Amino acid sequence: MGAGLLPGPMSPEERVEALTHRLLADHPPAATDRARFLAAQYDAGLTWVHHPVGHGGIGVERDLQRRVFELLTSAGAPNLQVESRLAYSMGAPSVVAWGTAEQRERYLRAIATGERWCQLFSEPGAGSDLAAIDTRAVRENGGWRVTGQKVWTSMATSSQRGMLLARTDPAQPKHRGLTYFVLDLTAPGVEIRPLRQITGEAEFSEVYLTDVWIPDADRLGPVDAGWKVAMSTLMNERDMFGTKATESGPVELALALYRERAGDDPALRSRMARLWLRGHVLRLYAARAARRAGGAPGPESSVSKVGFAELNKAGYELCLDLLGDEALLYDTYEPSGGASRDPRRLFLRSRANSIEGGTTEIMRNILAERVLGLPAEPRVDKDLPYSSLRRG
Amino acid sequence: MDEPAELRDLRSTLRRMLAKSAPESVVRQHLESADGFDRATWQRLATEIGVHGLAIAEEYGGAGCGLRELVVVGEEFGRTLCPGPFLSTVLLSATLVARSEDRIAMRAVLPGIADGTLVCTVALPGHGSGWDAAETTVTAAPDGEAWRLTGTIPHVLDGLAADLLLVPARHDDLVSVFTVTPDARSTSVEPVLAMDQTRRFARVGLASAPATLVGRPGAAHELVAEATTIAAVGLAADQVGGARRMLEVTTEYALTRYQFGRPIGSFQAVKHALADMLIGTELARAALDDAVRAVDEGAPDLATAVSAAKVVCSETYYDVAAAAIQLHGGLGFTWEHGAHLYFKRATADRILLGSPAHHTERLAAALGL
Repeated sequence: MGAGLLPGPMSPEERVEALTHRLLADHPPAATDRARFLAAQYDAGLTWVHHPVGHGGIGVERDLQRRVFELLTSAGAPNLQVESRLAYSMGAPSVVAWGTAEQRERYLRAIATGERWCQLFSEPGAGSDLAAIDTRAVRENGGWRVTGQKVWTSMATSSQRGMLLARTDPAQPKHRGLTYFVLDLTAPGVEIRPLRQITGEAEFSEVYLTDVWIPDADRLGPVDAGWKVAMSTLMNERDMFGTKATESGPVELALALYRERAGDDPALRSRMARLWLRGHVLRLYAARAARRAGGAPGPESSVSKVGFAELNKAGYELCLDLLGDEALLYDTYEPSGGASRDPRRLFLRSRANSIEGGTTEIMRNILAERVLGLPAEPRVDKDLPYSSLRRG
Repeated sequence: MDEPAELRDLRSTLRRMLAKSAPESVVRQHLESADGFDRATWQRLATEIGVHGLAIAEEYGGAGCGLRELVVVGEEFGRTLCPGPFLSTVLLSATLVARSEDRIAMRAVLPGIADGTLVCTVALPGHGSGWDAAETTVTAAPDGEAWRLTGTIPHVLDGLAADLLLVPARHDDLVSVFTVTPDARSTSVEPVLAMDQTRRFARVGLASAPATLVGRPGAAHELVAEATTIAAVGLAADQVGGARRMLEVTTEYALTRYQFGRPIGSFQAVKHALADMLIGTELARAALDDAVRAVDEGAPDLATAVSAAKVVCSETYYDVAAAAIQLHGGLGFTWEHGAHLYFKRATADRILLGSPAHHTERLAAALGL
């Protein structure tokens, strides 16, 4: 611990830097076991600096965490924000917001020392309409018996736990009968199957749950209040997508292909300039939105989301046209082919950009309703018991 | 809005004033007038708020601000279709003369523009092409200390209202800028009907018209390029203001127009069209802000930033105004509704100072494509 052992009055920035330097000096990353280093980082309050002392923080501004990661990365130390992104950026804030004292103690330390989490929300019958999930959790001797099927789970095979949304009361309207659990993925009845996608590889998994028993101690938030807990998780997801989307590659890739192959085709030249322009304006907008919102995700992220999805698709379409008849071929459809940077693979992958993390159609609804104040979509199922709804 | 306080104050003052001086009834009244605006109102904007001289140096009667203030004016004028020679006089002429560093010309022109008494325009050749002074067909011949200009310029913005013309003309293998004060003997000005009813064009004929050189000989290409670059940002502001207005008007209509027992704004086809209009205006504003930054900082990426803004704002305004007509249904096609005025202005704004194709070409060149 020892935040109090540092000399003199310091600004929060200085404190964070001093603590990080001391952590690195006391536990040189090259000579320290990964788990030991991460535990020391947690005890020093440098995992989530904005958390209170004892929960991996020292109660300072959240923005200062960036400085910690900069120093850690340049010293060759582990970076949880990259290595266990979902647990670190989505799991932990949900635990802080909804967990009991015991859960905070247990889960935060587990995440801080390298535990990876995945997200078990979407189902074959619940995509844009997430509240329509059908996985059931039934009370049984001090815990819950869970059965159902989850889909589009990234990093399921490398995770230890899953953030699970399940239906506990089908007699209530769909948003109200849900409960949130933190599922141990090694529990009997959990089966993870790779989900092969358009590109041939399997970035995502399906997770089948068959009579899986979850202790009540792993329930996060009140029974039947899972929707609210899931929303706090998702708020942090959109934030993550926003950051990822701005690192858009198709413009650079198209430029490289253009310089190599385009010759002097005026139509390709004009498409290339226009693609560059779209990327340029979206980057300007994203920078502006970040300044305005001070980091909190708002409706601006929907503008960026739609814009980058369309940019990526148009960008890889141009790449394909620049490839000419080489675009007839493909590198490999073997599932183990991995995420190569082949433009043909990225072209196929980009079809998902306007679907994942909220479809373009849903984003347009959000903009129309929340920014322009247009009437909300009719929700005919909103007040009906879930069990009476038509599904398919 | 995340606007600095001083810009917000300027915007709200101007918006209040325009609500009185340029309501739709006044805009419509000037659709038919010869000059297209009222001189007394134009001067009042100068004396009461100092709009015209915002970017003019203080020693020439201006406020010595940057483009960011002028852009607020451009947006608000675009929003209301405020009648007046903003583009020709305040954006093009004042910039060209200020950049000439010709102190005599600056003293003769800038204070009059700042106080609203002088209407001035640049007789640009070859509209729709490069807007390049080198394309002028007007010739200049020396006449003692002065010059005489001869030639025709087919469509000069605010040509009829202008008290002073800035004319690029050719002499001795050079192209220079000259001022001409129209007089009945050597200057003919014939109004031509513009598709954009909020703007006025005239065919200007010069027959040995007395002229004065502005700046150094041969500077026309550079001066016109600088003036059109700055003015293009002002025009982009007009486009953002107009697009924003069309988005608001159409949103309002979608909330109050009922069909099939529901506001039409509750139908996803309409909601999504409006969301796209919103996305467009948001991105256009980001492009505009970046162009303003580049100009006010004299940044190395100035030409790229301005061309990017001109393309994005041109296409957005056009698309948004077109969607406004579509979403208003039959009403949007009528003479009575204002949508057509914005659509026509969006069409003209697209062409003025370089079409999207022209500026895309400039971007391609800058990228080394």
